[in-house]
Amino acid sequence: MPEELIGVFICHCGNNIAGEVDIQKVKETINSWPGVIAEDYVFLCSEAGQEMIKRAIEEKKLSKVVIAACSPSHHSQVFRECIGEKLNPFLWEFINIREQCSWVHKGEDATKKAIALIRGGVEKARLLKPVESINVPIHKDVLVIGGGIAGMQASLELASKGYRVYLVEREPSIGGKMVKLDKTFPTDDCSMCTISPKLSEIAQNKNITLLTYSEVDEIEGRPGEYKVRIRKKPRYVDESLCTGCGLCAKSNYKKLIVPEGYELVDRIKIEREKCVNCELCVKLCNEFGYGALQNGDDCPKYDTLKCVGCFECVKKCPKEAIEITNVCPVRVASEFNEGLGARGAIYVPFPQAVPSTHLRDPENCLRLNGKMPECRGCFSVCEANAIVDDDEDEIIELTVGAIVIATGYELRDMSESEYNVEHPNVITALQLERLLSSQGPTGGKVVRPSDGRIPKSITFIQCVGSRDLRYNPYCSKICCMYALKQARLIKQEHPEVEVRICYMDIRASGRWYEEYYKSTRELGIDFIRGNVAEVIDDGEDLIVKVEDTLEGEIKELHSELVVLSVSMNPSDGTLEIAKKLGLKSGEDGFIDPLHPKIEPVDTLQEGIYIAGTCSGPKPIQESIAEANATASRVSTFLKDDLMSVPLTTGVIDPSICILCKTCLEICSFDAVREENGELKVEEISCHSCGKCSVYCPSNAMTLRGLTDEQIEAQIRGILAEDPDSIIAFCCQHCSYNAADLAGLSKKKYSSKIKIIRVPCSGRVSINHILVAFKFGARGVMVTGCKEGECHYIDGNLSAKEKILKLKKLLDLCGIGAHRVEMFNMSSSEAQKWVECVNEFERRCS
Amino acid sequence: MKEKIGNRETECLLCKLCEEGCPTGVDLIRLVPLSRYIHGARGGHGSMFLTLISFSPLFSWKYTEVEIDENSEIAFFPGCTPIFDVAFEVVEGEPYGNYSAMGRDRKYSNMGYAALKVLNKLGIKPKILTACCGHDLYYSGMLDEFEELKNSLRGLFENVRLVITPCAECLHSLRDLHGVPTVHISQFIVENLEKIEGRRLPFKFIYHDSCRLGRYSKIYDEPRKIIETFGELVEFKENRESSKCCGVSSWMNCNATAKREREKKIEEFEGSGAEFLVVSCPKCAIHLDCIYYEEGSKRRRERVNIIDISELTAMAMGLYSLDEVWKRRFERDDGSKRLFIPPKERDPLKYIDEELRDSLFSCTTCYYCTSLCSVNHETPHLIEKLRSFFVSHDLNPEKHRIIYRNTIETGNPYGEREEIFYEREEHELIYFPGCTTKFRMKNVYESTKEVLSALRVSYSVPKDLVCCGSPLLRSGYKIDEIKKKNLGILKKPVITSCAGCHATLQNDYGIEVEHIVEVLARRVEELPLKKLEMKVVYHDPCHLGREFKIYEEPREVIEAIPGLRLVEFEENRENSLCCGGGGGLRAWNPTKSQELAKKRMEEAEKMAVDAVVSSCPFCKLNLQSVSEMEVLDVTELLARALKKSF
Repeated sequence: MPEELIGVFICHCGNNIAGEVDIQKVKETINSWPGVIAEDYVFLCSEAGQEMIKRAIEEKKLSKVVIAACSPSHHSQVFRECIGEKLNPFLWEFINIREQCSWVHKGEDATKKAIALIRGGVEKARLLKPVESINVPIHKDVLVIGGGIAGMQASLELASKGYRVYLVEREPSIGGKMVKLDKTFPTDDCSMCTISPKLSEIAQNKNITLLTYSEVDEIEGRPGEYKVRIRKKPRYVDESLCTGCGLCAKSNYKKLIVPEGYELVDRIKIEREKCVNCELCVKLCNEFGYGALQNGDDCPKYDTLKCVGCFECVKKCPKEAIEITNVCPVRVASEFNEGLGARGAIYVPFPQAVPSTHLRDPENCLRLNGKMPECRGCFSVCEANAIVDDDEDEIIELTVGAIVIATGYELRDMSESEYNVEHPNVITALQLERLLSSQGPTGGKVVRPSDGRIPKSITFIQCVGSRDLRYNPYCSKICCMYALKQARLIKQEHPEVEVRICYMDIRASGRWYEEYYKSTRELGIDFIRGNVAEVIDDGEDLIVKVEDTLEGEIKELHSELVVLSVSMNPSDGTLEIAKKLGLKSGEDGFIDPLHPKIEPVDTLQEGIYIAGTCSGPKPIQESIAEANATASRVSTFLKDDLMSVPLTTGVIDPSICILCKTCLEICSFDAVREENGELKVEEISCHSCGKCSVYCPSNAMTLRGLTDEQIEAQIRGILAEDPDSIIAFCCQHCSYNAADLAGLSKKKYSSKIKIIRVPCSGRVSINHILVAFKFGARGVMVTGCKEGECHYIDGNLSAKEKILKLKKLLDLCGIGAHRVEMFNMSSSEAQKWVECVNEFERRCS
Repeated sequence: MKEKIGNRETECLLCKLCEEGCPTGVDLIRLVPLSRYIHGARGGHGSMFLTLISFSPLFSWKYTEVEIDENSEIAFFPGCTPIFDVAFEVVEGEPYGNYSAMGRDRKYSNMGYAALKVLNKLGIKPKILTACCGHDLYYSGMLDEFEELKNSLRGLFENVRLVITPCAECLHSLRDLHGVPTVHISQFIVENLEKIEGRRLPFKFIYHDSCRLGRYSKIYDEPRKIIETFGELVEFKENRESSKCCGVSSWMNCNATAKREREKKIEEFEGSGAEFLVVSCPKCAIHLDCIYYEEGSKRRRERVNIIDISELTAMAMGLYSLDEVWKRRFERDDGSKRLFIPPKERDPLKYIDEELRDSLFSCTTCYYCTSLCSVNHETPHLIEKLRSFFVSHDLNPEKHRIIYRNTIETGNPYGEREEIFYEREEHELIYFPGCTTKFRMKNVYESTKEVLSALRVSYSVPKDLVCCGSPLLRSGYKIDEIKKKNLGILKKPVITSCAGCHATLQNDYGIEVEHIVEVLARRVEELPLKKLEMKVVYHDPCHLGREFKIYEEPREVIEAIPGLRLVEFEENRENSLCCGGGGGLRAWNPTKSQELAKKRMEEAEKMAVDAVVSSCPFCKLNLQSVSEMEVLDVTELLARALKKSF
């Protein structure tokens, strides 16, 4: 049998690794191991580094390769392709000696740990076997999640390329945040004028299926074939009948601030001048048995609490003295108007909404919530008979090949902060947009919500929640520009109003931005450089307390209206979808692109792409540019009919299998089938989590991509170099990345910790842990996703259970239950990783 | 090529059922652990139990409600049952706790508890040794770990006069592998039977002989005596020496064949009318019980029906009752230690001695053991794998090396340089005569030619064919080169004369091949055979018989000859005895090889036959070498009958 030769390639990563790890010593140690040779290079990921690897494989006839470099999340694709040119792309192992070694440990410790980690990799590599691939079909349809400007643009672009697009939006209309804006910087052109053609284009495009007021309940499958379950929420208005005429939403309600909850208003108004007090209406109303109209002195008296909205009185009044004021008597704060102004329980978010179908809000509709089951205002006026009571969730199941996430942002909740946001005259910039908008609740008049008066002084506060370690450490990027825009719009309309902007820095980087800033300054707006300490309510006015750092004095600015440029957070939708799809997110919750610079719209998962503010704050033009880029990436992905999928899946040896069906029962993805008296893994459905191989009593199930023998060899290798280690099994989706993040932030911890990357904590078996103890490990940690967040449904729960059992066994074995523990964390919890590691190390000492 | 079922390292149960059968006395019980050590083998349940055993020196738990004396000279060795109990404990409310038959409330440790109660009642307060004997480490081939364990347990047995254990595996391992004076609880109970006051239990008990207590320790009577004293004994169809294994040993072979064995055992038990199955080894109980607990099992147990001989005794003595099988009678001792077994490179050489080597090379790969094996383990495959290791370490016999060199240099194991016969003309069939036919048994070639031409079968014998490689494979060599060479030529259907060639071409080349007797069996009626008044006996070649189950074809051919009388050896067909020539034994140890041949020929001589007929030139060669009596190939016999017709 020819002796195998394993090549270890050590990357210096400039000084990132070589600065702490003594490369020469590592190399010498590796060369002393049988059947292994080591080479090093300053940047392995470079063209020259890759060439070196390929040359070495060929010249030295290497059978396996170990790369000791950065985290696999950076360059595993690069090396896979590089090595794949010469060997089966699974005959190599990636050992992380940067994030999990040189960035977190010093000098000798780092060197020693690097050697141990590489030894683990080498021992594992000896047992690596080629993994073959199969071709699977790619479905051509695309799911776009989120109907804001980014999702809309991506949909239009994909539709124009000929793809069928399913655009899902959770709100009743598409348009997102952009439809709420009055004008947009730096051109000050009307936002609605630029977006509404796109809205109607989407409504009419035959390639786009629009699913508004819908939730993505489930996504399963693989790149090229995702099975998606969408739940369309009931509108209680028949979409096919509603013409969007708006009769049902008729209202004369003018208040800017709706009392908390809802307000009941009169549905009709009797014009005293016209009324002859013929009492016909009273008679009718009593005949119907409502009694909402009663005889009055000179005109009938109306009781809205009794009126059901049949509007017979309106129709029958001989003098046409009765007029409908509010078809729906319920008034609730308008979400579209950011809480300013009201809408009915039947409504459409805004006049140009797409679709224009109205909807009833079952929480507030008196008929639907049972407070007045006979209410039928909307029924009475709807000429299309579109209003329905029996409407329910509609489940739509789709199969798509790719997914675009455009779930956007929302403003950070700043309640109970120093900005006094509870005060009616402290508003967000987005609320100001609604006030500025001619379609807004004030018809474009900027007024104080408390009294509807045009304020004499307005103070804009920048960086509210942004660039603030107490809130969001990052800059929200667009606030400077929109604040400039809003200030200038007000100043241009009302030169008499005193307008001030309290800022830290004005960030106007971008074409035309600096010019925009300059011309805004020239309008006579007061720019105060300083952090606002507090917004104080002094009874009449608001006092903005700020230290003017340019003038070096504390100022108290009396302001009639305060506008907050509030920080941008990922929306709930963004957080939910990232969790659902297992996408990597940063500590800020925004979805991470595959590479922040060179792959800004790809995610860690092929087939899933991002656009717009779900990956961080950005202005409209960037969102649109990204959406177009995303559409391009999607079409590149979908261009082939087949894609190659490596069979890293489970496989059952039918000659050993005892048909106990444990695998079939526990597989979260239904990937095990019984066929002709044999159990088989359906390779396309298998997610390669390996839970089944942990539970198989007869060793019939093997995970091709990561066998038990390989894991145990890695443990053995690490402990052969450093028996005093703590082995940490890290799930590739969470803790491994948390440890990487800790490395990125240079958070130091003990070099005893040796990480072994596993697909899921559920892949770790009792035996893996026992093997570690057998070879002297100080302790073993198993770290997985938070409960309920496992990417394979419940791998972390099964791991937890194994640990519970193992603890009891370790007690009997004399090792002690405390030497093993399960920790749960998310990929962004670098600090938690460090805390867990420190705590566990103390415990095992 | 796909590994055949029965070829895996894990397959052998080490149940010793084949022990008596091996014609050359190969010590499989030592060879199997060595092979596992060299090639690596994993245990069931992710191998966790095997790893757990390594912690044996640190094991710490206490039995409750029993009387012990730390200074006693009598030690009680309960075995690993508390570990298994915890590993198998039902986990309530957790998603998968009870999968893989891992959720059981039966406490197997109560077998030890019951034994202790019996001992206490007999006035013995033993010292308790909580450790694992390492039986499974040894037999699963973790030899280094076993040595480590053996050394670290040595102190445990100081000042101990006698160890009593309820576990058959512990008995075998402590007594035979550790060299510690040990008795099984059943022996101890029988010795003290007159002191025991017990009532008769109104049940029937079927007793399962565990391999370690039975065939390994020859303790068959004691458990039976206990059962007969306290109840009614029922026997399995196969009992005592021929008892079948519970299906699993050393956690190695929890697999489909093991399950089949388990099924059979339980089915027999359920149909036997016995209320209880009694074991003398807790491991048998655990493995047999699996059938009740695994997923998809049709059986669901309402009451415990597998009990241990100590539990039975304690029940009869009123010290134990059936509802106690669920109770946990041990608790953890404090401990926070660490183990350090330095990862070592395996060094098989230190476990190899002359005796073992002789044993390995004595095997004739005759498959007799496989025919006895309850799981059809193809032992010859294991032997060949082990021999490969010996070859790669230059530990194989010089005679085998000569065969190898000859084959590589001259294309035949005999080292003959002359190319004798070939038929150049291209035909739809290739005749592969084999080296023995070509160089030692030319007559077989001639007779085959005659028979084939009588059947008007056209064939070619390509010139460049070399040895099929059978002698090399059987003695542990790789044949990639010659296989490649032959495969380049063997592109048409092949017929062979030799059972060895047939097996190699079919199994190792994976090509379409027929032995001449198969062809003849189909067409023998077309041959104008004349009367041949002879009395012959047919010798089944191992590679045709046991390996391919070709028993009837040659007999049909022989019996087609008018006037001929075919008689049988006492051991025929699947029980046939090897001629002694196979597996390289003839080359390495001719004396031993010929002993077997003599045995065969002597029997033939006693039967007063005119000739021994075989269908393998190599059998013919070996058998003929020890006897004056004629040994004929089937084709030779036919050729004779044909000649008479001219």
